[in-house]
Amino acid sequence: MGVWEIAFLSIAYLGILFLLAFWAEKKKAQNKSLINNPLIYALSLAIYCSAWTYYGSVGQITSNGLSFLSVYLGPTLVMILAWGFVRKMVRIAKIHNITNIADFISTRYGKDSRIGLGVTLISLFAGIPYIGLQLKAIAQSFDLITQSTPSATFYQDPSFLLFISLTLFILVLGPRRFDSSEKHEGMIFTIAMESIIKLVAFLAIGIYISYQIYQGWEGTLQLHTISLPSIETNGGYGNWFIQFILCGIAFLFLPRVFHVAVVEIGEEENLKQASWIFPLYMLLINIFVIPLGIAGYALLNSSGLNSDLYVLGLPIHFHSKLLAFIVYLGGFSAASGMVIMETMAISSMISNNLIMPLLLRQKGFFSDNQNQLGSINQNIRRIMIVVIMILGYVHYRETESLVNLVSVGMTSFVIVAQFAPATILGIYWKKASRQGALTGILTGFIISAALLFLPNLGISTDVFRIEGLNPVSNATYWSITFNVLALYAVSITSKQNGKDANQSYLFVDVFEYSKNIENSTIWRGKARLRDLRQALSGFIGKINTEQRLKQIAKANNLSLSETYADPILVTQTEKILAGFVGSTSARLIISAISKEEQIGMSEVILLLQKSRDLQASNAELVKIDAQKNEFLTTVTHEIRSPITSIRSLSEIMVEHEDISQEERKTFLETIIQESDRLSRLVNQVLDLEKLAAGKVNFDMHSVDLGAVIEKAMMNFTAIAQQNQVGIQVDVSQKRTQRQIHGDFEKLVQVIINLLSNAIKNVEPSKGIIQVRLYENATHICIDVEDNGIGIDPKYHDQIFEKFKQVDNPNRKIDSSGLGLSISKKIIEMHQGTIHLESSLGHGAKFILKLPIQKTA
Amino acid sequence: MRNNKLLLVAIVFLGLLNFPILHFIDSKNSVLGIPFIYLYFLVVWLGAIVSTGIILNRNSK
Amino acid sequence: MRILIADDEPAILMSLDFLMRKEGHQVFVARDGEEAIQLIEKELPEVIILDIMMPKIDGYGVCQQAKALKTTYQPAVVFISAKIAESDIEKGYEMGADLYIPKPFSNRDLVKKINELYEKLKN
Repeated sequence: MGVWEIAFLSIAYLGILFLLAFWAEKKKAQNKSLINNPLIYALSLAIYCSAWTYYGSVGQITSNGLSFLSVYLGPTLVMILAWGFVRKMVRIAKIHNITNIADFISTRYGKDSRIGLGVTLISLFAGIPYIGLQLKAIAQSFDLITQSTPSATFYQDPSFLLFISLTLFILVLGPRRFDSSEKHEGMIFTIAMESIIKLVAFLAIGIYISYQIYQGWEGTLQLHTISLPSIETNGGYGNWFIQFILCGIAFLFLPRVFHVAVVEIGEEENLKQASWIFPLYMLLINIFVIPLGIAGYALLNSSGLNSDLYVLGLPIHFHSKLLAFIVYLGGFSAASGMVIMETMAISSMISNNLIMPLLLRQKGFFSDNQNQLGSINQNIRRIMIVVIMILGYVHYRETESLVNLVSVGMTSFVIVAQFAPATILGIYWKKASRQGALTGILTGFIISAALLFLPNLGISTDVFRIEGLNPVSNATYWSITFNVLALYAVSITSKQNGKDANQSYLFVDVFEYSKNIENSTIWRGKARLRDLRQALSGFIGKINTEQRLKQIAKANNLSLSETYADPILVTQTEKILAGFVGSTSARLIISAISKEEQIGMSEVILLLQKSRDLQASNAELVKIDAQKNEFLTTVTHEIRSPITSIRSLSEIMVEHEDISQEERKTFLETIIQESDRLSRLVNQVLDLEKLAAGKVNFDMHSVDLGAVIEKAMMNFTAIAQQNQVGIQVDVSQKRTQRQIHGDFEKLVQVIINLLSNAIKNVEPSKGIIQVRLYENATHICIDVEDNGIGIDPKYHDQIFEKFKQVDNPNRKIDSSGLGLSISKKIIEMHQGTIHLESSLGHGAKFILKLPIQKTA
Repeated sequence: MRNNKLLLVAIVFLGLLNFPILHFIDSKNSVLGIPFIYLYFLVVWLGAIVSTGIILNRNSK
Repeated sequence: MRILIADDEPAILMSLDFLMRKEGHQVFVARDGEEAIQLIEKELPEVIILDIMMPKIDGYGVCQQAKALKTTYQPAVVFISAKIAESDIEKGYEMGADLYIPKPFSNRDLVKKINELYEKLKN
């Protein structure tokens, strides 16, 4: 196909993507987000699959066998765990308004600007060759499909036109002015669409070659006999394992993946489905790699075509123009998607962690430009996008035929993997300190860079070469090991400062503090409200500033008319600013407009604990309220039963004059009994409330418990006889005359309560109740034991609570549900204890223990 | 509970696809023209995907 | 008509028993859920009057078991309960009750409603 034809179609394709993006943004403006769903989220994660996946895997087959699979199995491993791990990162990023990996790590470590800067520069270092790689893939595939040779001067090269269009595309859809959430609805939507296209294109060529041309895998694989699949003979298990792990940990820390996975996620819930959809995507895009690789090698190796281009070479070989174009488009999607997101992410890192802090540290810069910080920030990002694109392009032009796709990708992976220890330990281990993180990242970076690049400069690193490991695995092993060791060793030996400790709590316990963190103000100092307003309006405009401030003030009951701002307002302002310029720069802006006091670590922890305690006491109040409600419901319910029978029986007697004398008598007796029950209930409720409020006067004297039992029995013998229940009293075990100090009548009431309970729990005529009085060195005790149905031990704790009538298999234990709680209260007033020994079917024994009165 | 199950899936996934288990699979036999080890990878991979999906979509916490 | 009444309050049982007999129904009484179910299985009454908070098996449980007893047996179920929150009443109807009468009730009202239910059943 012609050069201009393809160039035009490619740019038209970008144009369509742009329209799609525009449409998505419009939908978003109508509050119909297209990207806030699991499928689009999972597809946007497929940004991970760049040109390296699309063209590179097939190129690897003949030289490295199946080792390319580790690149997808590692991330699958991470996605299986995403619901725990990635969700935590998402929650943290949301709370702190974090928009890139450098901000994430530096925010965790006390907003240390050195860490943010380090991570930024390392990402840039790893990202440029990677971007160059994608541009190379675009250019080479362009040259192949148009059958042209690249021009020696870049501006005469038609693929340069694609490069320009791509840059413009990013600039238009990229940096935002008035949106702190850093969500790029349109961009993410196009990324997801590109993911569909690259998958469909790859499956199309795979099916075409394997089934259309060669009628199945067997036919295809017979084209060439190579010692294909064995892992053992293609690098061995050691390399396989290390790369498996490397790809897993590097996956999330690639700037573009971090951006789509953590920053652009709509709701956390999206992760749930993406955890399996994205691995499924990776599986699908890899299914046909083997037949394509073998067919490519068999048919195209002799033509001298770079093995990285077999995927596109195959349809051209078979003169299938349409398929060739589809494949080209798929590759263009894979490469351009990666370039778009990566430049966006890295440009925001550079702006937030390098350039803005440099500018803000300059004297006078802040006060001179206070009103236009927002647009300055936006322009810095635009310039950085252009710079990164040019650097990537230069890299590709200069190193054109040196390396293949996979090795550049792997090198980037080893370098970004250095962020993993500081991040993972940072969100699970509070002691990880800023010094530790900084040392770990730098150590890891220096070791990996040395082992990977020194050999290219002719310096041998063979001393460190572990037998059987390839350069990438070898560098991974040494760098990650020392990274983790340095992080750990320095963290446990160095002290955290207040800010560091504060952030460690907020990160590690993010799910616990989620609610409070929003309002946690670990900031003390003075800032004028006017200055806050001005700083904010530089980014979000005057109207939005007023709106946001009012929202915050309303939510926290603050006034906006004072000269100095409440710390909450300052913290929130800093958070909003962080969404635009990152945590480091936001901190600088806030300190430029305020006088801040240093806060010590112990104070930080105290503050956090306070907010937690407050939450706990709140929960306690809610619980008490619920108990009170339950109490009221139960009281009314208990009152309703006697009222029902009284009313119903009285109505009967009014309306049915013909009832027999006998019936009339029974009914009237029942009415009297039920009335008694009602008044008893009312009295008990009052008693209990008085006891609870401490309003009952106890008439305290020396009391002989034997006399208490005697008095209770006097009231009770008749009832026992009526119910045909036997009562045995044994006071023989109390041999001394020792007494207790107490209220005689109240204690009689307790014994009566216990006896009434016992009577209800035994079967008439078989029931025996035993009352025993005895003593030990310190206490005088009374047992009230029955041989009734017993009480399941699981209810023992509850039965002394108000109205906790256990759902006893036979009858209610406590007629009103209040007797036992009243008894318990009374005994407690005597410094005594009451408890229950019982099991189902074996009767119940209540044991009272009252302290012996000290003889004067 | 759910996270523990996912951790188990991850460990089994990693275990099945590495030495020593991989050593027993690593042969040149093929099934229906597809290299056996490749088929093995796809099956284990799909298994992990399906289990993850099921664990995350069941209602229990 | 044959009616089963289940309530753990003897006084209420006494008055309901009297009222229903005066209306000319054949009455069975139960003091808890288990007894109620045994009687239902044996006697297959057309109307079942149930308290909700009963020992052993509560009214909801009795209602469900009675409705699931036989396909040919479809008794009318009336809850009479001191649980009078809207949610309780809703739950009662969800359980398949034909009537939900809150305690305390007026005898005349109760008898009228149950007779109406009886008429409806016959048709």
